[in-house]
Parts: sequence; C-alpha cells; structure tokens
Amino acid sequence: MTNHELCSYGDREAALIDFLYGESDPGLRTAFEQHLAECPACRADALAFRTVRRALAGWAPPEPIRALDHAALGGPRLAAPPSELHDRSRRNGMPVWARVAAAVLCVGVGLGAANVRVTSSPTGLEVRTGWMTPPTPVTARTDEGDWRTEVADLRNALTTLQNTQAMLASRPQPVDAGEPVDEDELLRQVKALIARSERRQQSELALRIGDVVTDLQAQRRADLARIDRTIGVVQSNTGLEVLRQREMLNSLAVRVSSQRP
Amino acid sequence: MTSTDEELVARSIRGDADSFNELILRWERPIYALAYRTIGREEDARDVCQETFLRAFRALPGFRGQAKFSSWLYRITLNLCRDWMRRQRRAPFVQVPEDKDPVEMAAAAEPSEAIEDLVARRDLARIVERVMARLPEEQRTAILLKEYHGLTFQEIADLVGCPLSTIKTRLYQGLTVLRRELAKEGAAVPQDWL
Repeated sequence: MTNHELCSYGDREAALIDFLYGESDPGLRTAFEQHLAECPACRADALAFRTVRRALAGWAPPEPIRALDHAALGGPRLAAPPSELHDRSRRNGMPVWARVAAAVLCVGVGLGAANVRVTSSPTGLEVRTGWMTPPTPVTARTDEGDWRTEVADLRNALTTLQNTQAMLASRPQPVDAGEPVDEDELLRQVKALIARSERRQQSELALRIGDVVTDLQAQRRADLARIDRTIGVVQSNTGLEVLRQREMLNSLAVRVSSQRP
Repeated sequence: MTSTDEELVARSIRGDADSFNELILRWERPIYALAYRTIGREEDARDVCQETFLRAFRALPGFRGQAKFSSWLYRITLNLCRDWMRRQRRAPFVQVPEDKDPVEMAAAAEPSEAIEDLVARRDLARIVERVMARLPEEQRTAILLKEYHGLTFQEIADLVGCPLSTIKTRLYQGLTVLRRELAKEGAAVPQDWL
C-alpha cells in the first residue's frame, strides 16, 4: 500500500507540495501541520521530499567562461566584454575601420575589374563599364589613370592601416602608473596567492587520488566478476565433458557386456 | 540605485543598448543554468542562451509587460530547448561531468571543507544529473523552474500554459520519481546540507 493510499487527507498531493514550498495559505498550512503530526505516511513523504530537494540543491551547472577572476589576479582588471552578443565586431580580431577599408578596397578592385569609368559631361554624369563602347582614346586613358590611381591609393592606405594595427598590437601595454605600488601589500598578496594555489593543488591531488582509487575499485570489481564468469563457464564445460565421458564409458560397457558370451 | 527589469526594458525599447546589456548581465547565468539543466550540454546550452537574448532583443518592441521579463525569457529558453531536443530526436543527453575540473571545485569550496565532502558532493551531483534526465519533460521543467529559479506555482503555470493544479501534480510526481531513482542509485544526502 502506498503512502497515498494510507492517507485520506483531501487533495493530499497539492497540500504536501504547498507545505514543502511554503506557498500555502497560513490556515491551510496549520491544518496540514496538524495532520502531519498524526499521519506517519505524510510525514515520511514530507521528509523524503525534503531530502530530494537537498540533493537537487547540490546540482550546479558548470560555470561558463566569462570575465577574468579579479581575486586570482590580485587586483582589478578590465573585465571581459559582458557578452558575446555585443562583441561580434571584435571576435574576428579586426576592428571596424580596417574592415571598412578592406571593403572599400574590394569595391575599388571590383570597379577596376569591371572597367568602370565615370565621366562628367555637359549632359551630366556618365558611367561606363568595360562592355560599353569606349570613349576616345585620350579621354579613356585619362579616366583609367584616375581610378587606377585611386585604387592604388586605397591599397596603400589599407596597407598603412594594417601595418599600424600590427605595430600597435605588438607594442607592450603601458603599465598603469596611477598609484605607487606598496611592496609590502604586493608581497602579502603574492603570498596569499601562493598559499591559495598550494591549497588548491593539495585538494586537487586528493581528488585525483580519490578518482584513481574509485577507478581501481571499479576495475577490480569488474575483473572479479569476469573471473567468476570465466570460472563458471570452465566449470560447466568441465561438467559437460565429464558427463560425455561417462556416457561414452557407459555405452562402451554396455557394448562389451553384450558381446560377452 | 538598481533599475528594475521593467525600467531597463522600457529604456532598451527606446534604443538604449546599455540597458539591454544590463539585462543580459543580470539574466545570462540563470538562463544558461536553465538551458544546461534542460538539455545537459555545455556548448548547446551556451548557444541556447545566446539565441534567447537574440530573440528577446528582436521581440522586445512587442513585449507589453503582461508577464515578468524573466518569465518571458524562461519561456523563450524552454521553447528553444524543446526545439533543440526535437532536432536531436532523442531524450536529452546529459553529459555527466566526468572531467569536471577538481581545481574549480576546490577553488569554489571553502578552505575548511573536507575533501570527503567535496567528493561526496560531486558524486551526488552526478547522480542527480542522471536521474533528472530520466524525468518526463513536463515534470523536469516544473522542478527546474521551481527549485532553481524560484518561480511561484502561478508563474510556472502561466509560463507553460497549464492549470495551477497540474503544476503541483507534476511537482509531486517528479519528486516521487526522483526519490525512487535516487534511492536506486544509492545516493546518500548528508543531513547537514542546507
């Protein structure tokens, strides 16, 4: 018989859940508490559910990698960007202005490949591409020179920008010389870091040893089980063989006795 | 003075990116925790978390405040998790963290916590993760939202779209299954926890 069947309290499940999570009406809670005092089944369920909730409380997801650990680094540091959502521009390693310059260069190269020519005439702005009838040679040569020069300029500008970016990236970060460093405080912090690291290493070592022992025991149990099974198989095979031999001997004995005069 | 979710939402709708960033900072971990506990994979949980905020950002102009902002986020997360599970076409695969870094655990633990307690806590967490994965989806969702996110019964009922009594029934049934499964796994919960 389940606890549910042992108790006739009205809407027992809901009352138990309300009681467990503290969301019941005060009057109803008092009534249920009185019932708990008299009903071992409900008391057992309430206790068991509290134990389950305690177990659930110990389950935490792994921490996602986010900002730097300020305490471990011994001081305030610039936190990592709060979310990748707003940091996509930096994820590829190239700042926005470099990407814009690269896009402009690509457009310029594309225009050059399409042999685009833009001319200004009394009738207005003329745009010609490579497959249209070319203008007079003198004019065409001048226009080609203009946009080719522009593309070359863009290319040079982009190269300069990239070189500047590389140079800035390789330059070591200047030390913030805001306040003078207190050596004693620094020494204290370093000692604290070392002590914390030593404690962590000891804990890690103990946990690793625990893991190894657990694995060894599991392996030992598995090996023993396999040995048991193997011995069992050997025993049954041996038994079968003995039985076969006996049957052969019996049939031989019968044959011999039947052949005797 | 800390702004409420509603104030931050209103500012975000008016175009204040910092306000939305503040909302992300505030709710990123609970959303990630819900996603991880639902689908059991770190990488996918991070993807679900990011996708939740992306969808929330896009749908923010349509958010009228009928429910709490957090409940709205939870609903988006649960829908994304459900879509993920449908795509996977299998029960949620729970990655038992066999290689969970003991250094992290040791760092998170109080210096005076005994190693035996640390190991026991880790082993129990693994067992809990396994048995939670065996629960039916609706029971698991109810327990996750109640135990780890502190929603009231009514909020859970509104979020999943079912009556209050159904939520209580799911919680009761879920806890009953967990009780049985934890006993089967031989899980021992120290009496002095919490």
